[in-house]
Formats: sequence, structure tokens, C-alpha cells
Amino acid sequence: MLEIQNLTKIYKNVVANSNLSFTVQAGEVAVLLGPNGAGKSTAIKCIAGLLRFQGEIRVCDFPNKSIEAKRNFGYIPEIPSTYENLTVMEHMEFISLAYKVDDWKPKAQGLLVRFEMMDKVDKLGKELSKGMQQKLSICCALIAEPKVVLFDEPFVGLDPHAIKELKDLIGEMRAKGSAVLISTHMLDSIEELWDKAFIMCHGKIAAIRKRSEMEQNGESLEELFFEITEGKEEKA
Amino acid sequence: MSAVWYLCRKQVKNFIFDLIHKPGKLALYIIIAVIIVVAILSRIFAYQNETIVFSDIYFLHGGYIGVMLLIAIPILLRGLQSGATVFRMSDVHFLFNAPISPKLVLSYGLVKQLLTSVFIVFLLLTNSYQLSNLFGLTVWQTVILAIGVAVMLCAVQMLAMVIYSLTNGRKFLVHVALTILYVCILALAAIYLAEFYVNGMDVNSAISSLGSPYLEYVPIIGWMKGAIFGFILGNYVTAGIYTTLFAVVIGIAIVVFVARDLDFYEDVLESTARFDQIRRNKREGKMNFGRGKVNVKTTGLKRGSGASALFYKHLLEQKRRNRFFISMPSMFLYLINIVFVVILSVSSRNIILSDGILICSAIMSCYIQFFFSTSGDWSLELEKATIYLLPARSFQKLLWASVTTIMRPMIDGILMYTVLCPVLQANPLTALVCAAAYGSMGLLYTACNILFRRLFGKISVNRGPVMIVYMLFVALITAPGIVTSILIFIFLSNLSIFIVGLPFITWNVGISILIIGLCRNMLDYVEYND
Repeated sequence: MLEIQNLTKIYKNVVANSNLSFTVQAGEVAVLLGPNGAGKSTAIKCIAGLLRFQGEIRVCDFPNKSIEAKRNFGYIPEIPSTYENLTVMEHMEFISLAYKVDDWKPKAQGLLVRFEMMDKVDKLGKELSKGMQQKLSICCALIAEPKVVLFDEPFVGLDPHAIKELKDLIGEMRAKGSAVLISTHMLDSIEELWDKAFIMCHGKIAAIRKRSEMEQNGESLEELFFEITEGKEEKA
Repeated sequence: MSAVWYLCRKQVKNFIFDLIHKPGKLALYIIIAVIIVVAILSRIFAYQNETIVFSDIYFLHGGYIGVMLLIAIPILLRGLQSGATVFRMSDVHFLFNAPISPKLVLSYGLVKQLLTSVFIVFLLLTNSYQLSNLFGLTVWQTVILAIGVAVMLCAVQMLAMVIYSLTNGRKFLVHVALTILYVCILALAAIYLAEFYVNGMDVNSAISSLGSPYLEYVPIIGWMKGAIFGFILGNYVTAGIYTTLFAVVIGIAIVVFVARDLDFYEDVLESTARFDQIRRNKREGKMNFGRGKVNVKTTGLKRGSGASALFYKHLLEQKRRNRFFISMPSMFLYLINIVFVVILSVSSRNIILSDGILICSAIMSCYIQFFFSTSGDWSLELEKATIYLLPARSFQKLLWASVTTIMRPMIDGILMYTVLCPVLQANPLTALVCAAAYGSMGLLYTACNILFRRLFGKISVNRGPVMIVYMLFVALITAPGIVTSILIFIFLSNLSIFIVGLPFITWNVGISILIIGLCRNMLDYVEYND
């Protein structure tokens, strides 16, 4: 569903991503792990089509910048950015109109109820706290029911209820057959969620593990993470 | 003390190092320095016996009071509502929490503000050549004018902080402070009108009343103007009195602030955050003209599908952002044009015909429009990820996202010249061509913006040099249209202005369509970086 082949992103003289290759299948929750500056957000932005890159990225068998691909993925950025002068409900309406979502109101209400935002529907974007903006950003990305969902540090700034709700939602998306890719450095937050982990360090994928493999081998994701990241940093 | 002193030293040192690493910024500062030196030298070595006709000095009196009002009123009004600030968010995060005396922190803020004001003095000095030419001022007189502006800026910030802390949101005290402020403004207007009435209510009295000495009786604004013009004109007694009055009031404000041990940290928090956001927007090329508080009456986009939803969203945002759908840049433009047309009509004394005044106004408006052209809806849209993610063709998104930006100058042009034409009793065809020229320039600016975004992406470093290149590019691209219209005007002088303006308008529209067409895939290539 999501295929990345030899993704390389270079900013002037800095190699942010070097030859990343991985896939996320339908009904799979993959996590992109790594310390700060590992290149996770850059990779997510390249996949979302926001940055130029070398290599190939396909979403549902379409190149990621094609209209068909855009119709099929949702992206939740690390820093939420709402429209200052639109209300919460107008954000949902705008995205629904732009993505041509049928019968959007019940869907919007369902999402807003889950994230406890129904009392904020008439609040303007600029009146929302950072956490509220993050919730709205999630609701906007999910209203079009995307088949591939890209989360960039989704739990930062959310309250405990929203974190629980988001985890439930990710579980539901997996059950419905969506492919989910989450970029994070907070290992605890994705402990019970992940099916596949890509551990990044210095712009490269240092390890790929499936949960089933790790459980069989008795490996711990946390130990592996520190082994890779701290080991490499020492060498550097 | 050592921590604050260390911070000051490091900030100055890092500013210099940063300048060395940014050649564009360094070049800009060198250019400013050269302009100042050239202006000073040209005035020093100018022929003393040369007979030059200078503009009426009363214009300078009026202009200076205008500048003082523009500095003081917004700061004081904002200060009364949400406080003023001389701090940055980094000061709030690091200094406010540190075990440093609040008085020392305040002194640090004031010194920093004073240094910023000194920088403004240098910027003003770049215009000293024009002031010298217009009013026959010497270099030092210009320096005194600039120092007055800088001191005023710093003093008013301090005053606003004190007023806010003293009133502390208490309605009665806020009303009292507002009343005093409005009384001062009304006093200025009343004194001017009284002088105008006494002096004969004609054009000459309108101009000479600007220099009325009674205006200098008005506290703060008048005193500062009186002090500065006292020094400039050699009336040192007057200058001394007004300087003392001004210094006493500001001194009392500082003493009250320090002696009463006002807890100013809370008072400056909101305004510091707001100003930091404005500075950030400015650095990112976003201009914030929006209204602070928005009353949401009706909600919903209701229309739009796919990329066209962007257009209906922009309409809704404009409705919320602007009063009566008229944006702040448009208001500014209308105001400038009214003043310009009145001054030109009065000063030309029928030498310039109505049609000529309209054309002059159109040329000036096209030039002013350049400075607002980077803040359209479409460029704001590029600051959000949504436009890149929408499942629609790049060209469709680009067009729908730029419709309101293209429409705005067209509507402004029509409104402006529909009003000015009957007022000046000008030819309606001339008004039509002026409106069309203004609208077509708006289209061209948008096209050039799109092209530069396509070529350079989001410009976050070396904005100054890129802006200079941009200005030169716009000048170059408009040249064929301008030259053709001028040639037609010279060689076919019998033709009406309407025909003369057509090549300019046609060229603007044609080249804009070509540029936008060539950049149709820009959203697939431009990078989005938050």
C-alpha cells in the first residue's frame, strides 16, 4: 500500500535521508523511530509530497504526487497549522469540500465527539490551544477516510483522553485495512500499537523489525533502539 | 548584573558574526551606510550660493506631528488594551525566570529598545538627502529630527507600559487614560482648526496652520515636536522648556514604575507573545493586516468542490478579516489617494488637468501596490500544507487560490476611480483606463510572485537581496508595456489617454497569463517547509 524505494533527500550539503526503502502493507501499523535529527520528519514530508526527493514513493500503487495518491492518504503534521479565521466546523467543511467527501457532517461530528471538540465547533482556529489544533488537524486528516495515514509525532501536545482516543482510532484503521505510518521518538506511546518498526539513525534505516519476530527472539524494541542509536552516536 | 551584561555582549557579538556569514544582509547595511555618507557629504559640499526654491517648512511641521501621532497613538492604544512591551519571548523564557532583579531586567529591555530606536535613526538618515533638498535642512538638523523620532518611540513604549500597569485592566482607570489620550488628539485638531479659521480659511492658512506654536502645548507629542523644532530653528529657550517637560514626564513614569515595584512580568506577557508572532510573520514574509477580534455571525463555506473550495474559503476569510470586505491595504490606498489628489489639485492650481491628476494617482497607486502584493491570499495559502495535499491538479489549485488576490486590485481600482472621476470631473474613459491599469498591475505582481515562488521557493534567508532582484525583475517585465504606451503618447499625441493606456494594460495581462501558465505545475515542485 505504501512503498518507498531508495528515498534520498539532500538539503544543500546535509543528507537528511539516505536510500530509505521500506513498505507498509494494508492493515499494518508501522513506526518510524529515531532520535531527534534522525530524518524521520523529512521522510514523512517526502512521502506526503511536500518535499522534493530522489527515489520512488508509491501510495496505493500511484506515485505519491499524483492526484490518485493524494486522494488516498492523510497527513497529520508535527506542528498543527490551522486557518486563523475559520471555525472548527468550517475546517471540517472545507476539507470535506476539497476532498469531495459525501455526507461529511455525521463523519465530522463523529470525529469531533471522539476528541471532545463538539463544544468548540464555533471557535476560530486562532482561538484554539496547541493541543486543540492538533486534535483538529487529526480530525481533518481522517474525515476523508484515507487508506494510508501518515502521522508525524501525533501524541505531542495531546491530553490523555485524546491520546487514548487516537490509539483506538489507529487500531480501528488497522482493522479496516488502512496502512498507518507513525513517526515518533516516544517509544512508550506506540508500545502497544506497532506491527513493524523502522529504526532510523543519521538519515538511514539502521534496523527493520516486525513485532512477531521480536517477540519470537525475545528482543525489546527499547533495547534495540538504544543499542542502535547510542552505539552509532558513540562511533560518530 | 553580570548575566545581563554577558547577554548584551554576546548579542552584539553574535549580531556582527551573523552579519559576516550573511553577505546579502551585510551588503544591505553597507549600502545604507554609503547612502547616509553620500547624503551627508553631498549636503556639506553643496554650493552655498546656489539659489534653490525649498518647499514650505510648514509641511515639515505638519509631517513631523503626523509621524509623532503615528508612533504614539497605536502604541498607547494597544498598550491600554493589552499592554506594551520592550521584550522578546526569549527574554520572557530566560530572563523573567532567572534570579535577576526585575528592575535590572527592565533596564535591559529599555536599553535594547533604545538601540533599536538608534537603528531607526540610521534608517531615517538615509532619507536626509530628500529632506535637505525639500526643506533646505542641514545634516545635523536632519539628525535632530531622527533623534526625536527614536526618543519618542522609546518613551512612548515606556509610557504605555506604565499606564497599563497602573490601570491594570480596571475599566474606570482605562477610561480615564483613554479620555486623556483622546483629549490630547482632539486638542491638536481643535488648535489646528482654530488657526485655520483665524488665518482666513484658505489654502495658505491650511498650510501655515500646520506650524502653529500652540500645537506644541499639547503634552508629549506637541512637546517633543516643540523641542525638536526649537533646536532646529535655534530657539533654544523653547527647546529647553519642552525638553524639560518631556523629560520630567517620562522620568516620573520611570520612577513610578520602579518605585511602586510594579509586577510588570504578567503585564507584558501577552503583548510580547503578540509582537513575537508579528516579528515571525514579518520574517517569513507574511504581513498581518487582520483584525484582532473577529465576531463570528454566520458560519459555513456552503459552496466549492475540489480546488474551488480554496476560493470560497478565501472569501469567507476575507469577510472575517476585513471590515465591510475592505482590507487594510485598500483602506490605506484609498486614504493616500484622497490626500494625494487633494494636494495635487490645490498645489497645481489648475496647471495639471483632472485627467493628469488621475493618471498621476494611478502611477502612484501601482507603485504602492507593489509593497502589498506579497501578502495576498494565495501566498498565505502556501504557508499551510493543505494546498499541497489536496487531490487536484496543481494548475487548478494555483488558479483557485489566486482568484481573490487577482480580484482585489481590480475591485480596488474600480472603486477608487469611480469615486475620483466625478470628484475631479475627469473623463470617464481615463478613469476606466486607470482602474484597468491598476488591476492589470495587480495581476502582474501576482504572476511575478508566483514565478519567484516557483524559482526560489519560500525565501527565508537573504530576503533583502532577493527582494531587490524581484523589484528589478518587476521593473524589467513592465518596461515593454510602459515604453510602448509612452511612445504612442509622444508620437500620436492626438489619441485619447484611453488608447494610450491600452498597450500597457494588454502587455500586463498577456505577460501575466504567460507567466502563470508557465508556472502551472509549481505546487508539484515547490517545497513546503514549516
